Amino acid sequence: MKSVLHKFIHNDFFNYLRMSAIYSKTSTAVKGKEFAEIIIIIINAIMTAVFVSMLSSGPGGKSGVVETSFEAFIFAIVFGVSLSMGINRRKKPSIMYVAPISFIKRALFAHLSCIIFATFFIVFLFAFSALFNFLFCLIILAATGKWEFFHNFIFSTAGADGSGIMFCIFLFFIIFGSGVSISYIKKFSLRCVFMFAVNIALFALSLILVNVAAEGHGFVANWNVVAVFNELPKSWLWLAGVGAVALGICAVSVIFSIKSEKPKEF
Amino acid sequence: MHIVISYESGIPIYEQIKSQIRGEILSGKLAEGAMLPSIRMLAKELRIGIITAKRAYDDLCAEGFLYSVQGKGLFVSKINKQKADSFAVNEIRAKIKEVAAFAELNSVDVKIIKEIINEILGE
Amino acid sequence: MEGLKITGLVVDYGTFKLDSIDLNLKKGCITGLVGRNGCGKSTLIKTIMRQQDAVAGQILYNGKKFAENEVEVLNSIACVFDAPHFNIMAKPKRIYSLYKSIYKKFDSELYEKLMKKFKLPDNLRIGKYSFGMQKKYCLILALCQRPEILILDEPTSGIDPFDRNEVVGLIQEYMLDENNTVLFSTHITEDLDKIADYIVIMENGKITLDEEKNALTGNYRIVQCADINDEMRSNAIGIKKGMFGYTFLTKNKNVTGSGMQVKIPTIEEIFVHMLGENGTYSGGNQNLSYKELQNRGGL
Repeated sequence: MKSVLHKFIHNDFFNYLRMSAIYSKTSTAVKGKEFAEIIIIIINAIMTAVFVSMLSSGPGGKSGVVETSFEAFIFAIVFGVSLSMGINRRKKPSIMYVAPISFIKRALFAHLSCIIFATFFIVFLFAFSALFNFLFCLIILAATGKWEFFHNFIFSTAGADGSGIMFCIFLFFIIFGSGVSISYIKKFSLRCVFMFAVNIALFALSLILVNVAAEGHGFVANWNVVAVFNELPKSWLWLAGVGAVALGICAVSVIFSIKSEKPKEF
Repeated sequence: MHIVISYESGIPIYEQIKSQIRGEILSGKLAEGAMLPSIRMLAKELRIGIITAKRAYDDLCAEGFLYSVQGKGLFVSKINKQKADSFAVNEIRAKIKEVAAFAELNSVDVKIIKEIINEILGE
Repeated sequence: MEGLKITGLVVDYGTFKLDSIDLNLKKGCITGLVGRNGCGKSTLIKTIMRQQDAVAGQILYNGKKFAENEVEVLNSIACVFDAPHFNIMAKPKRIYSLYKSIYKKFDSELYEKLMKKFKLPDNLRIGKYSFGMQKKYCLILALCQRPEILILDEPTSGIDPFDRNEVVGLIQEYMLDENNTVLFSTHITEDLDKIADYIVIMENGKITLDEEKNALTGNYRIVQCADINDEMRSNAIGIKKGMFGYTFLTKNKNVTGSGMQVKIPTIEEIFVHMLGENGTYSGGNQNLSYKELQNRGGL
């Protein structure tokens, strides 16, 4: 029994997972241009947050202030974390590149570990925001004695909406995959352009999805796609589409990684 | 075995090691057939380079003071009296040559050197 | 037999270039790498450790190509980088258990022993360690991997004299196995005087000298003299003029003369004279002769 567990824990993938957990917080590695990249990511994340919270008149006029700010918060965090994870994956020297693991495994594990991390991260993020929301409702209740907010809480998307969470997770994969791919661009300015492009593409995608959801309401200037995801006609189909795109991008970035990391005689 | 090395003496390290091991062998402190520490052990203990240690041993082997047994190590060879004496004589000759050169450089007369030697040896 | 064989290695940063580096590290020997700040030592080490891409060239690890034996090579090579290459927010215990599962040959006993020897606290985050302690910790990890090739980027910098001596001893203990190879970059040339077998000097991304240490100290002499003539000048390397005369390095082993001090150079002296241009020791009044100084009342 013990040896089975031992084998399960002590394999290359778990080692990689532990390494990435151990490496993810390294601050000493941030130098020079990499620091500029971090700043760009932060600017991008703030932009995302501001846009989402500014332009959030839901199609049914449903979203309240509380949810909206949570949406913005979640969006910005997902964007910032996933992109910086993707971009910084290749920082060297790093234990991940010194440890004796073959390059194919390394490329695969990088993405697999990210997928695991993303799932946990976003579920926790939603759980956290739901808790926060709940506390907020309690305070309102205590202050005003009104129950309506609890009704709102139950239907609030920031609570726990399956498709919204799934969408966020896929979003994470998309941005992470793009980040890894971008990190293989050698030219710094081009890398920056692409980082902004990810943000713009994200907005475009949200805009399209929101307007599809708001069918018959005319053009809606809303980026708050998580909030309206369950209102999309055939939302699961859309979700599958986004999932396919996410897997596609991750596959592309795995291929990129394998190609670039393949040890070569110079 | 006792070895002291100095970085200030101006004599190469391997020479210092060589002469000290040789001295121990000639004086009989290192008996015939005694095993010496390996090159790497010597290097580690004396804080010197491996090549330096190797060179000292190699020279001693070439001079016939040591012999190596493949896979076992280095051992002190049999030294006959004649060889030991001739070696000592050669050493003394070299040292006196050094003295002579020094005297010439400082324009000291040869007679004075002879006098000094007689004086020291107590004749 | 070469532990590490580098041929025609070119690394291009754009602003900085390592130019056709050829370097053979003999198995069972310690090679010291010296050079001024920014001459490319760390870049070379990162390239050897595959943390930096090269434009051209080849590196053979114990005669093996990296592309064909990636995992094997990574298993047999260990490095102390200029900064820790893992998260310094972690505690030693975590890093230890990680290393133990990554490296099959990891020596737990040695780890425990060395942690005690260097008095590294087990319950403090690596980031809270001082610079010297971090270096020591990295060295412990590298040694415990039981590698065949050990690459050290300034392992003794920031370490106090007592422990530096211990570190040098540890490296020598590691060298007791004759299949091991060490590349040792340092600014503390004293360490190299003692234990190095080969000395490599780098300058502006190029290797300017690669020689056996004994040959180096045996063939060169450092000369101090009051006056210098043309014949001496033609043989001299890096003449430094001081207040009381000249100091220079020469390849002429039998240089003699009256009022001349001749001695075996240390690595530091070789380094200083080879890299420095002919000129004066910097600072102060040393451009002036003794007499001029007296006239000025400077003495």
